[in-house]
Amino acid sequence: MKKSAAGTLHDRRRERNAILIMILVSIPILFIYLAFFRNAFLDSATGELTLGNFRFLTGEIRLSQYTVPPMGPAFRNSVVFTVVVTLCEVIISCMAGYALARLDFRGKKVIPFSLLALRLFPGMLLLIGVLYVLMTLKLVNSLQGVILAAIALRLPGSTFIIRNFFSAVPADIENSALVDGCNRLTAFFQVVIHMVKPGIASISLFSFMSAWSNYLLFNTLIFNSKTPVLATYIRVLSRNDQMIADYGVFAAMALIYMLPVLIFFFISQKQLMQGNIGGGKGI
Amino acid sequence: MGRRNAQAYAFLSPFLVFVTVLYIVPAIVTVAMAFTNLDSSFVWEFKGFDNFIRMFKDPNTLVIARNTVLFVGVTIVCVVLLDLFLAVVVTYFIQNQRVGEFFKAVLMIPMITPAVVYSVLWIWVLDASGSGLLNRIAAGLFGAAPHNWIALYPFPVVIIATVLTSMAYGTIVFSSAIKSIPENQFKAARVDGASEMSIVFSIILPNIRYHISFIALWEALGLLTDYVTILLITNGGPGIRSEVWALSAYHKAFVDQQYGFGAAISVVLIVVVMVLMLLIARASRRQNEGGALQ
Repeated sequence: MKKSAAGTLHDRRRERNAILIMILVSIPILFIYLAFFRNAFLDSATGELTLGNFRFLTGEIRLSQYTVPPMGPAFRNSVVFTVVVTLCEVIISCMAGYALARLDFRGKKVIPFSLLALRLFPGMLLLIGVLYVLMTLKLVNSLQGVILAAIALRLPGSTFIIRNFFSAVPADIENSALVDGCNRLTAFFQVVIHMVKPGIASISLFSFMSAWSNYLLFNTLIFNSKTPVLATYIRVLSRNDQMIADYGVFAAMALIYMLPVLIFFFISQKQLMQGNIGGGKGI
Repeated sequence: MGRRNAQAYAFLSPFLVFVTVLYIVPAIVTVAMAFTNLDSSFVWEFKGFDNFIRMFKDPNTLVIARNTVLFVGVTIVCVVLLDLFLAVVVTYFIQNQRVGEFFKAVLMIPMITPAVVYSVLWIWVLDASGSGLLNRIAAGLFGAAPHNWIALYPFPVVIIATVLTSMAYGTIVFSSAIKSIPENQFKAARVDGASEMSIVFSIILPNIRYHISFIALWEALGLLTDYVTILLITNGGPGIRSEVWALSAYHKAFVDQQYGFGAAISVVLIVVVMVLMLLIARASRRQNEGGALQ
């Protein structure tokens, strides 16, 4: 939808009013975030600018009576969790999406339909069952267990998205690769996979965002604090009266936690805005 | 065909294993558990419909059901109206693409914020002590004494916090739908001397009506089942004033360790969700057909 390049005076005035409205909408959002994260750079006692709130990056810190455990293990677990979940999710959903879009097999009619149903179905309602299955497999209370659950619950959504990308690749391209002496596997890795790069970027982005922010799976599938991730680490601290009294350290931690998300957000805004944010929320 | 089958299933097998073991089996287990009184000792003992009878006899159930309907209803209406307003302003009235994209990016900030950080942001804004943002503002403007906002107004708080995280998605969907309306429709209306208001109501809204019903249903599904924001901000409290259905299943199963009863509460919600899913599948088919027509 484009109007003629030279808008009338009336048009321009209307655009100016519209921008004014959007500024009024944006200011409270930006204000709350900036005001909160400003705490990270202020000394809570003196109110002066400081980087002292970031001391937790180098070691444990003491706040009057409470010692904040070091962030290291939680950070490491979060990184491992996010990387493994994103990688597995992308690889497995690419393989499945390719088969569903391209290959013939018995049962081909049933799977796409169930895929749509699974994609819409909110996996969060099944956490009780997931917990039981993990217990049976002796994987409960471990990072591996949560990783497996996270991958499984997000797979239908990302497979659904990537399948559409594979369907859009012209079959001729692949056929000519097959004629040129590739088999399915080499054709897949050497030719087809390059045609769906935007799709891969999009599912890895959503997978990264949801894995990095995931709180609920860790909260429900891990009972002790031996396997903290940033989400549960920060949550535990946020319920501690000592910490809440000292929003400075807390805001500094929240900022470190949010930094990767913000960076990804700025890199990949376009993808996020294409409106195919699939796979449901929360998990 | 045999070889082709083997090849296809080789590609599909990791997916099928994951989804079967950690999606479909948990679904069956959850439904089966709903008919037991399974607790932390994990002894399976089938009790028929006991859990459901207990649920309907519990006076809290009515309160929680009312909370859920109110929460989902009010939030959907707010989100859809806000989405429409913002999408029209950002896409139709602001012709400059880059300016529009910038504002959309700002709207997306709450959506991309990790739930744990997002909730603390609200807890800080509404902090009962004098150091909370809202209390400082209220004190500065009216000299008001500090209020414990979350305890006073838990329900409006969770609705506002949820609306803020939900609004970006619908705005983006509506915005790209508005962009795909053919320009000649607008031109024709302008030649006829239509006002901007009538363009919004007689061209934009009818063109994106399937997107509107899709978003309303999609949000309904999300709001019914996604309880993380409420869990982290009010935890359903004070008492059960902001407890919703999905959150009560979580509380029963993972806090009280009454897995059977929690599963029964989930199963009731699963039935509602199934109906919604059918409606969504229909709405998205219409949305795609509508898109193809243009």
